[in-house]
Amino acid sequence: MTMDLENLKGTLRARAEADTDAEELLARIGPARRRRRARRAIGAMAAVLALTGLVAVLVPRLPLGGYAVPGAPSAANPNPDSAAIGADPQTIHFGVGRFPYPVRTTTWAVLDGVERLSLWGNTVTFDDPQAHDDTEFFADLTLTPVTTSPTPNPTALPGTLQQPHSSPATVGGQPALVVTGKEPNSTLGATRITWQPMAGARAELSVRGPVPVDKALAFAGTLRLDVIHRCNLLVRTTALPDGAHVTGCSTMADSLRGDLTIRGPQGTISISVSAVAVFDRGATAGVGDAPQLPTLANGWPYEELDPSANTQHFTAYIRIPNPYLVVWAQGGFGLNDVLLVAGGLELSSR
Amino acid sequence: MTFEEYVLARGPALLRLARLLVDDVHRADDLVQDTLVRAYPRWSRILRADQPDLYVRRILINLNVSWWRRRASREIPVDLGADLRPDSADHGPQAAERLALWERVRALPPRQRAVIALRYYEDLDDDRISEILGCSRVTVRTHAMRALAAMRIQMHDLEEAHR
Repeated sequence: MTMDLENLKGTLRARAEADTDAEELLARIGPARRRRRARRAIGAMAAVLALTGLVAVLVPRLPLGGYAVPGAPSAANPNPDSAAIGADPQTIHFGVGRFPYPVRTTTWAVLDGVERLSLWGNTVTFDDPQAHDDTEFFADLTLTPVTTSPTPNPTALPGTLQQPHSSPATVGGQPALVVTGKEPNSTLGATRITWQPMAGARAELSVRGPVPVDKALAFAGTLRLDVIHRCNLLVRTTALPDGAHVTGCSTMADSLRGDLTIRGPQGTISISVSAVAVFDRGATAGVGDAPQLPTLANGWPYEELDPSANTQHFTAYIRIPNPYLVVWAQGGFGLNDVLLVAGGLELSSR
Repeated sequence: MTFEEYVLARGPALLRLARLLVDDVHRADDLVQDTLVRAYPRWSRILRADQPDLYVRRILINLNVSWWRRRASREIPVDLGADLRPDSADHGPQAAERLALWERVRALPPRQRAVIALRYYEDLDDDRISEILGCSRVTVRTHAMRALAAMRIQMHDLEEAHR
C-alpha cells in the first residue's frame, strides 16, 4: 500500500472535524477575562509597589543588557546549604540574572531531587517575521547535591553530542568545564557548562541553539544561591496513596500552569494545572460543564477521560473543570488512586 | 476585529488544527486555550500587524513544540507499531487505512506534523506556511518532503509486515 495524498487529506479531515463550539470556547475564557480587566487596575497598583521594592533589591546585582527571566524570587536565603538542594520538592534554592535573549517560556521546577530552570525562546524577538527555526534555543540550568550528581567527565559529556569539545573556564570564580558539540541529526549546536557554585553542590547549564559560549558562560555567572523560589501551584495535596510522596513540582512563570508529580512503589500520579485556570480560578463551572458530573471527596465535579486517548500508557485519567486541571496515573496506580489524590486536593494560598 | 469576534470566527478552525498537532483531543482543547491566553494580552499588537491568523497559529504551533519538548524527557517511549494493526473485523478497509495513516502522522516530529497539517488540511501554500512557522520556504519544503518520505517508507514497511 502506498500513501495517497487524497487518503492523507481524508484522514486529516476525519481527525480534525469533530464538533467545535466557538461559543463554548469563548464562554470558558470570556467571563474570567472581564474579571481579569477589573482586577488588573487594582493589581497594577499593588504590582507597581511590590516591583519597586523588588527592583531596589535586585537591580544592583543584575548585569547590564539581556532580558529579565520571569519569576521573582520568593524569599532571601542568607545561609545557602547544599544539603537542602533537591530535598524539598516545592523549593528551588537558586535565582538567576538576565538572559542574553528574549525568553518565551520560563519553568521553575524540582523533580526527583533535581532543581531546574528551563528557558525557551528565540535569539530574535518573537514578532520578527524572520524568526527562523534556527534561532530557537532551549536552556536548562540544574542544581543538584554532588552526592547525587556524577562528576563531569570531559570525554563522556555530553554523551549524546557529536564532535564534543571540552575546555576549562571559570564561572563565578569557580573552575568550570565547558563542553560544546552538535546535536545528532540536527544543525543545533549545544553547550554544557558544569561547575560547583558552592561546596557540595553541582550546577549545570545546558543550552541548545545558537547561543554563543561566552553568552552562556555570562548567564551561568549570574547564578545566585542567596534566594529561593517556591513552587506554588494552584492546588496542594492532602491525600496520597500508601507509600507515595510528592517528588516533583513545576510552575510556568507568568501563568498558573504547572504540574505536581507523585511517586510511589506502584508508579506515578501527575497533576497538571491547565492555562484555563488563569481565567477560571475561583469561578463557578463554565457553560460547557455537564451538571451531572460525578463529584470527588472534596466536592469538585470531575469527568473520567479515556486513558488510552494518548500515547503515554495512562492507567487512569480524569479532568476537573473547576479549577481546571487534569490528573492521570501511570504504572500500577489506577482510577481509585487518582480519585483519592484528586479528592484530597485543596486550593492553595498562592 | 475584537478578540471575541476573532475567537467566534476562528476558534473552531484553531481547534481543528490543534487536533492534528497533538494525540489527545483534550490536550488539543488545552492547547487552544493556552494559545488564546497568550494572544489576548497582545491582541492590539497582533491586529496592528494585520495578520491575526498568522500570529495566532504561530503561537499555537510554537506552544505545541514547547509542550512536546518539555514532556519528551519524561514521557514513556511508545512502540507505535503496536497500534498499527488495523482490525478488519471491527473496521472497514477505509477506516483501517485511515487509522494506519493517522498513526504515521502521529509518529512525525512536531514541525513536520505541523507542515503536513497546514499543507494538506488547511491547504496553505508553502509561502504562507513559512510565514506561520517563521522559517524559510525551503525549510517548509524540506519538512514536507521528509514527512512524506517517512510516511511512505513506513507505510511500505507496514504493508510488508502484514504480508
